[in-house]
Amino acid sequence: MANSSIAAVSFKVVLLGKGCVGKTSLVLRYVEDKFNGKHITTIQASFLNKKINIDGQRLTLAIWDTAGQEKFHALGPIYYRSANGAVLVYDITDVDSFQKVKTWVKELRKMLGRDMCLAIVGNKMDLEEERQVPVEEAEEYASKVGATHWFTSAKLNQGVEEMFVGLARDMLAKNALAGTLSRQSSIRRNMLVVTDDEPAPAKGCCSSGA
Amino acid sequence: MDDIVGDKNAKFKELYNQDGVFLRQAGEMYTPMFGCTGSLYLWEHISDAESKPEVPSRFLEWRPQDFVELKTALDEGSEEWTLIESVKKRCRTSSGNMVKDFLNSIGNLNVCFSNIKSLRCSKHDVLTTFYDGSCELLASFVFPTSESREHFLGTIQAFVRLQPTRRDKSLFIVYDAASPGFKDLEKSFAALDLKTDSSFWSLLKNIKSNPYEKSMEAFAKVTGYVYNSVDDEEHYMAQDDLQRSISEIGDDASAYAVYDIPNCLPMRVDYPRCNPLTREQWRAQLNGEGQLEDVESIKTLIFRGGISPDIRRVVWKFLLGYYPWDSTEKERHALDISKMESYYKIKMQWTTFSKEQEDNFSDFSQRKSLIEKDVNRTDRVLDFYAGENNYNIFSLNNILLTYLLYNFDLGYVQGMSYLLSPIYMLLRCEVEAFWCFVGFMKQVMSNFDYDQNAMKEQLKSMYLLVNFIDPQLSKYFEDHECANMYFCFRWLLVWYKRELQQDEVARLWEVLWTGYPCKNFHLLIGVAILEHERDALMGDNNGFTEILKFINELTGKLDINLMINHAEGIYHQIKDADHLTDAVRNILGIPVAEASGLQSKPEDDRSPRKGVSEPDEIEFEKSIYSNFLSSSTGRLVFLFRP
Ligand SMILES: Nc1nc2c(ncn2[C@@H]2O[C@H](COP(=O)(O)OP(=O)(O)OP(=O)(O)O)[C@@H](O)[C@H]2O)c(=O)[nH]1
Ligand SMILES: [Mg+2]
Repeated sequence: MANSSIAAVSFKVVLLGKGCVGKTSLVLRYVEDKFNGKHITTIQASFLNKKINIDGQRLTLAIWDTAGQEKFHALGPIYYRSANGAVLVYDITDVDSFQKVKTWVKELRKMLGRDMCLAIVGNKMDLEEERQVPVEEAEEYASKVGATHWFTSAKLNQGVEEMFVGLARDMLAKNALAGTLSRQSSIRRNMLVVTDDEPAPAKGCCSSGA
Repeated sequence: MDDIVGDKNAKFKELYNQDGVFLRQAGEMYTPMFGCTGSLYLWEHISDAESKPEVPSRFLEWRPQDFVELKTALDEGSEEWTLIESVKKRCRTSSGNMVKDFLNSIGNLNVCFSNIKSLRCSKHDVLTTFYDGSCELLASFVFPTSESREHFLGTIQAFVRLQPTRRDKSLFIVYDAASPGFKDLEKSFAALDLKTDSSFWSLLKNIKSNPYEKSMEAFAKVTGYVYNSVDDEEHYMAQDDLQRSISEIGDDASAYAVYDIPNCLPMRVDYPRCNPLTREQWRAQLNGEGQLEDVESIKTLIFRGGISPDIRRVVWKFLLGYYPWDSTEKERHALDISKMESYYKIKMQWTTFSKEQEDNFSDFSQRKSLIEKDVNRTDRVLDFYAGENNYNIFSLNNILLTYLLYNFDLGYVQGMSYLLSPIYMLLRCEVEAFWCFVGFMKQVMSNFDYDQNAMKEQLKSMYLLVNFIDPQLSKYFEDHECANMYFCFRWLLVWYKRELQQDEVARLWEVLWTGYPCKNFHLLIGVAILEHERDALMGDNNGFTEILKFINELTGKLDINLMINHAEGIYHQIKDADHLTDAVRNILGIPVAEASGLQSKPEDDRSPRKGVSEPDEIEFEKSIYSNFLSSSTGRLVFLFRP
């Protein structure tokens, strides 16, 4: 396919979902293979890069971890804007978190149309005994809205890599479909802010680290 | 591009030569070379009887690096290159043929100097851009060092004048020094007879010891002098005159100056931080009834140095409204009892819920589970909150649940646990921590409102403040889709709690709780941080993503005492600025004509003052400036960054 001719591709992926469903845990597990049961609430979005290779196609995922707290989203869609894919996370032991996924799907489809690849993720599958969200309901919903569905456990490292790689494949496919060229330019726009005037890379004048 | 060196017999003298110059942009035909490093030359045509008038007198040439290597190789065996004159380092003239061949084959970038009508060189990076008469970009270079650019600017000023534009201080109009009118201006400026003023001379003499700073101060004087009284051109001339005065005194001073124009802010004054409020100082203020005698001076001491950890427990209760400032010992005792009673009353409301009742009260039970999840992720790295079944986590949970019922309309919002954690860790008492938390929440409650308007408002204010003190930085944010300042969200939401160690948080918060020296001082802390990191923020063409990442990674790296110190300096600069706008005034709550700006200064000798900027010295400097101005009608304009 046309993909193989592209040297390197970057995709922006954003994680969304209610507070405490395990978004940060999933990202840390995937990017750094760590799990820390006692880390901290996300208040401000952050992002990490992960480089992967799918069937010889090198790609970089710029993964954005956002805050689950609903109120912090009032600031606007800045974090999901121009994303190529979204990971919508719920906690299988928390019905309300699944409702929140549905709200997100609606918002994303409304704002970004079908351009974006969606992965719906039921996290904390290690807590199967406490499951509140029925498997069928979740899977049915996902296929209805054109999303893939995954179960993961950031704690036990189950299904995490598969989910991110699966999403990456979807994004590659969509990318190829949308026509490499036009898509490429929009990806580039997402990843790189190109401006023509003013400050240049002034290496060595950085005063940070003080 | 013009066929510049088409004349066979033209001879050129090298005025400037710098390797490692990066070509950022130029005409489209040079696109393949964008981003390449090369050598920048400035050639001057040596005219003689044979030369044709079409040959430009000066031109810039940029050759890509590998080409330079090639040239050197050719150079060695070539007889056509003849060294005829030596100007400074290595200089060379060449016969036209060779040069022309090179140009044809590689396509060096040439810019005829007389086409350059303006150039942009900002103070904070080494990017330099040349424009023609219709403001089209001719070429844009990044010099390897600021010295190399200064050298370049120094060189061209031998034959052109650079006049900064008023609106954009990094943009300079290029005037031919030989043009008519120039001399007249020079005369009119000389008529002002600046140089006979003795304080002015004493300042100039200091230039030797500290060329950059002193010369910039001197400029502040001169620009201030002429700013309102004469037009832009004379404004420029004033500097030029000064420039020459400086070069008479010290050579190295001339490398600075001229192309750098100050912002119209007063000079930054250092307000040194002091020692924390001690137990003795606190006790000394209590009268027989245990009442504080002079609350303002206590608050001033806290603002200036914070509180020594051994009396923090007591003083925080005053700062957070648990005890009124004017309470007596007896009243406080009574308050302890009544506060305890009312705390347990509220707490009982939720501890007595039955399971069934809770299930039927989903608004409560949802928030309850959110609190539980959050306290389990609050400061668990600290020993105090670490480990399974930690009693302190249990207490945080209790306090937040009680607060939930105390203020059910607000509910529980993530982030609130971070505001409670340092308070509880200090007080170690549910009742006291609860009421102090209530006091803190009164100040920051709107941060957690549903519509987030308060947060948006603060972010906007932050932008306005940055714009006021560092327009270049705010412009950068604007140009890079960062004007929303979202990357400061966490700072403002929980008052830098997540960026600092617990003892630093305590220090910062107690300073902020005094309410000195102005409203919204916490915004100025952020402005100070941004200003401190400005070069890194603007480096590498950072966009929102990079800036957010950079800001997130500042966690644990901030020197909070220094930032408080800077923030106070910034406050005074803003307050004393001539062009203070109502918008900025409102943000900081500065009254229209503030009678005294001494609010935040220590009133007496009990507060130690350290550091170099003794008040006397500052006053002295100020008086020099005003002496200097007393005979003129002009307005004094100081520098933002000396
Ligand atoms: N049992 C179990 N616990 C998990 C799993 N993933 C995360 N957790 C726990 O769930 C809690 C929340 O995880 P986070 O990764 O902080 O959740 P988040 O979605 O980033 O939350 P916000 O930052 O508040 O939006 C933590 O205490 C994790 O240890 C999982 O797969 N299994
Ligand atoms: Mg998180």
